[in-house]
Amino acid sequence: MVIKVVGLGGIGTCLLQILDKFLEYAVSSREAIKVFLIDGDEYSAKNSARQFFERLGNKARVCAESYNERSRRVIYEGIAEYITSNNMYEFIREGDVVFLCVDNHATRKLVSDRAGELADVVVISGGNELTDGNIQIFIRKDSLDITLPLTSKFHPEISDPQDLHPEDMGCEEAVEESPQIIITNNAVASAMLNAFYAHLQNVLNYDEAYIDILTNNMRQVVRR
Amino acid sequence: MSTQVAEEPMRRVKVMCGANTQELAGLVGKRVSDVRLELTEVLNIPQDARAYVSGGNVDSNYQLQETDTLEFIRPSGNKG
Repeated sequence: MVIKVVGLGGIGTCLLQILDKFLEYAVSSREAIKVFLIDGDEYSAKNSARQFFERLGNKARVCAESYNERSRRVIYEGIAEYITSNNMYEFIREGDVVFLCVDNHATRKLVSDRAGELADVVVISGGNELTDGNIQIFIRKDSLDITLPLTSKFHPEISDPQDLHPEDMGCEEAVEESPQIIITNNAVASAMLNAFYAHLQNVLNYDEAYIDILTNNMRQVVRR
Repeated sequence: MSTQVAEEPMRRVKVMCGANTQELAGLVGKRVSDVRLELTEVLNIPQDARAYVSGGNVDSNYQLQETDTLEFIRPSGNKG
């Protein structure tokens, strides 16, 4: 199994803590499990309010180093790059399970469009505002869309993104503009992992799910 | 001898936004814009949420009918 985690910020580092334990102990596979961590951003001291990391440096490399030290079965590789239209062919490939934990719709569109060119791929994307968020699941199997792409008509904010790609604006700027809390990041990460588990059990049949931490409600939606 | 006529139960319309759902009576005939105003707080409906009835985009003047299910679709969360 090849897993890509794109974005190692608030959602990504919450998700990785549980994913690592799950892959290490709960997944029955004789093959080694490889997890690629992809992020061009750097950890800074202010990130420690919401993100789990052991030292400053490139997010993907720092996390890969930390998890390789403690994992026996899972092999982590850190890629210190943002996903762009130039490198997406290299990083999003046939058979991947992609956890998309980024902070901009421009990258969500890039990854969804790239996944749409592949025959078999799973993209589980999460995003949040202050106290709510959602996940979207795009599954392609045998060259067919099993669930809707992230860029479906229901989400024009992704199909026609108005925000900037991180190469044009650092995460620091985005965080300064709009505050976040780790509890919402964790709720979204948890919903993404629920979807991953349902996929492994072959029972994943919804296109997206919404989470609200104030009402403690969660709602899954089938839009096809 | 009096004949009793059973009252027809008031039809409830399901309204959703994000993680939150309400099933309410008395919405049939109301415009989407009025429903939005009424439920903004309870369903936490953001200004940029678009209204869909049974999967199709409708404008704010659309009047709810008996079989409708109304969803205000929130834009996807942007941050992470």
